[in-house]
Amino acid sequence: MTQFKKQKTKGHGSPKLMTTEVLEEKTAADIEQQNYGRAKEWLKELCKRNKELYQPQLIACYQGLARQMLEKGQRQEAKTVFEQIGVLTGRPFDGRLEAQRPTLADDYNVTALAMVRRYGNVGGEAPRAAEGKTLADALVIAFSDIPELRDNHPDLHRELIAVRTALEHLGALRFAEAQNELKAIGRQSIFADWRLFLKGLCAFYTGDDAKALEALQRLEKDSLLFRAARPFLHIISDEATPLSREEAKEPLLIDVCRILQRPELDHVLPRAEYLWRMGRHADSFEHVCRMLSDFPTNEPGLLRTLSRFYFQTLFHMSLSQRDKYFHDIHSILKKRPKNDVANLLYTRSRNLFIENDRRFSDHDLWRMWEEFLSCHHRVAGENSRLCALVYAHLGDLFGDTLPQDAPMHRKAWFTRREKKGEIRNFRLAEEAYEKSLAIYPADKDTHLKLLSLYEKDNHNQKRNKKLDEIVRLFPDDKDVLAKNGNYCIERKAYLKGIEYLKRAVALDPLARINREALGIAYIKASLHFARQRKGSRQRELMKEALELGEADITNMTLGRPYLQVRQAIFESIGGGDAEGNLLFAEVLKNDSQDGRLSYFAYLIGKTYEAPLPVISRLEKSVKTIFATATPAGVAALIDVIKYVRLIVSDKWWMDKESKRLNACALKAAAKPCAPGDAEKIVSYAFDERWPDLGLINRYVKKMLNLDPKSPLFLYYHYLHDKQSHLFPRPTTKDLKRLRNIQAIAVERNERLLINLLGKEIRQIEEFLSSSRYDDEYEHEEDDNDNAINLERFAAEIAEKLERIIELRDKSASRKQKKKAATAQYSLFDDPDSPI
Amino acid sequence: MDPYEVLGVSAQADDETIRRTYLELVRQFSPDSDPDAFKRISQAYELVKNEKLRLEHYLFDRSVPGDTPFQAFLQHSRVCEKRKPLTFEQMKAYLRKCAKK
Repeated sequence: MTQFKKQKTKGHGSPKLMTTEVLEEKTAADIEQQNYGRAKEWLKELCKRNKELYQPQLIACYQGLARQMLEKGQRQEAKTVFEQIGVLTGRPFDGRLEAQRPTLADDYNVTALAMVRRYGNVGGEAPRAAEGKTLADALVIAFSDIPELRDNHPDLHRELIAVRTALEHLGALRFAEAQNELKAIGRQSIFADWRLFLKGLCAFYTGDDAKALEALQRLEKDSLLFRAARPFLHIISDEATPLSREEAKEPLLIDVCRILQRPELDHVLPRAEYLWRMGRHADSFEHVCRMLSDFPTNEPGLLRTLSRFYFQTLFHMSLSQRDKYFHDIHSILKKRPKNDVANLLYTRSRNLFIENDRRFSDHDLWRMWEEFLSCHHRVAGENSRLCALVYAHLGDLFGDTLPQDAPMHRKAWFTRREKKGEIRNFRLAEEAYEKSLAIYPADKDTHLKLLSLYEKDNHNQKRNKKLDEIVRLFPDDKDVLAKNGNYCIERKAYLKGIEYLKRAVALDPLARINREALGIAYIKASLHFARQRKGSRQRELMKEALELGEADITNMTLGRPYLQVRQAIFESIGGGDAEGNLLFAEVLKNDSQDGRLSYFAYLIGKTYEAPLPVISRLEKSVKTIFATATPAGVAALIDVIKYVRLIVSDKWWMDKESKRLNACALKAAAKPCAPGDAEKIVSYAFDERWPDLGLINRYVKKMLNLDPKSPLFLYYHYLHDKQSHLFPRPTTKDLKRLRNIQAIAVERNERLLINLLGKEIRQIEEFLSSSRYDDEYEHEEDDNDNAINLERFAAEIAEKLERIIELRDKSASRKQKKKAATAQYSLFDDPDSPI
Repeated sequence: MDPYEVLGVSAQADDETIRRTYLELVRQFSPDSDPDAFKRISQAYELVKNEKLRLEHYLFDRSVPGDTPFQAFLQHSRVCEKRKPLTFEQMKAYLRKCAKK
């Protein structure tokens, strides 16, 4: 009223002064806008002028006003309006409104009774759909008997009882009985939604989430039952009940805790979740610590899951986030009473977190893991196996070679890259492994790891000693036998090595690595005997190799055609030209159209230093293959050259071969090409030390002309552009470009590419965030981009000059090598050469 | 997820107990009847099937059971806990609470 009066004085004028027509117009306009408060003032004046005509409109207006008030929860005000309606009509209140009022007042019985009365006696009007659902809800949640319903509407009563009984069965885990009860409810019944709801719950509790999801999602949105079903849907899938932007999540999460019978968490986790989502990660951790006295813990159960979440989540955070979180939880734990379990969990996470952070020295890391061990000793007692594993882990860390690719941290662009393949800290690695073995000498893996460390760092004497020790300790272990076999082959004790490898294969015939090692041993031994012109020995060994061999055309070690090519070459080397020619003719007649076997024969012949006439003959056929090669043929030849390169990585003629193959691939680009072949050619070109960007560009464009949205070739296009750029530092533009490509890859469900792109995107994000992070926290860095570019530019130029010098040296060395045509290379010059 | 919770064994269980439980679970959740559960159980078993693996998991596991604390709770409940329905009285109170909203 006060509001009306204010409004009235603001230009509406007094109703008394208005004509009936004006009042009627104003009433109609206000009722249309559902402004019942003002409309009733006009109607009151109209009633004074003609009560009979305007009183029904006034009552309707009061009813509208009361409904609005109830919707807003203004029960007292609505009650006054109902009383006013009673005075005007001289009758009891309208049933439906009466029903709504007690629902809000928690009086379910009165609500249900009022609604039943509204639908009258036997044969009364059936409720309409929406009203029927309201009636059904009122009747169920009243949970009491209404005699009028039983007498006047026996069908509804029967269905109501079915719903209640089903609810009772559900609470007592009698799911089949609950489902049986629901059969009494028809699809058109006003209780149909209750039937759906209960079916959904039965499926939920019997573990059939798909069925539960289907049933519960069919409930009408904004209905009582949908509200009741939301926590169940959320438990099944986080995405099943998306929240609107303005909707608070906490009430839903509280319900979820209660549905999952975890009422003790309903005042903990919703708040912790809110804080976490707001980016206040440490506050979230502190809240859980404060509210749950047993947190953090190592004891099985939910609290351990939460402990794992809070202590292990930092491994999955971005660089800047995790540094902050790590320090914040440290401060929180320091403030709390001393708790060894929390300290243990924290120390473990901290150690794993910093182990690749080069700001900490290797000695710091050693000390920190020992701190963890003493903490573990206090909490759980001594465990020698655990200690041994920790030291072995330290051995792994320090014995690791430095990463192939320098990290994309900004500092890395300016500092000298550490030498690739360098061991992080040999001395500490050796000490750690030895300490681990002193604690637990029976750990074969640690022995083998120490052996690998000696191999990696070329400590041959120590390696031999270690291997002897391992063989003594584990005489019948297949891994040890294989190691020993390979070691014998390397020392040219072929027959002994083959025997060890045969035993390893016999112990586990499915272990591919040992089969291949045995195959390689046969090949090396045969070559050795061929050079010594011991033909029968060589043939005997190759016969065994062929027995071990496979029909697989793609396996160039154990594939029988490739073994036969080798045997032909060995015959030529051993002086058996006639046998060699015969074998060549036999095996090469089965060469496929792409000529991979002939190319393999040529390359492997050169590798094994076959006689020049044999090489010349093979080269002739290779020239023919190259002259007519299609992209598919080039792809097959790439397989061959990649394999042979593994054996002869440092031979000068391989670079020449690569160039020849690149030229052949470029020529073949004019011919039709399948995406798979183009992929192989482009990927090969990228793998080259100095990629042929012209070749890459040609195939990428060709493929993008065929399919402009091919995510793989769009990605290659991106890589090509980055390679062509003088300063390939990642930018936000690159990030956007990669995200677009990833979206297409997702559309096409190309999983490998999605993962690859995801990894690259994360790296760039991390790089970009670390750049910002550095600017924020490390002020010693120069913010001037030009200065950065100049510094970078200088580093790039230096690197390019190094490459040019290296190339020149290489070219000079090739000339020298060409002069010394007779000084051929032995395959065994390189002890690491696999074949 | 925590392999001990998935298998329903204690962290102190020995190799034999873990293997027996694993075989029982695999019989119950075969690859045909419930491939997801089978995969989960097999992966959990591979992480804790012997003492060395158990200790390595304890020392070096970096996996997280979700992106947020509540997701961790839900993941735990989905995998490790059997759903228990509300009693009739609890359900009555819950439905009445929903009616008030």
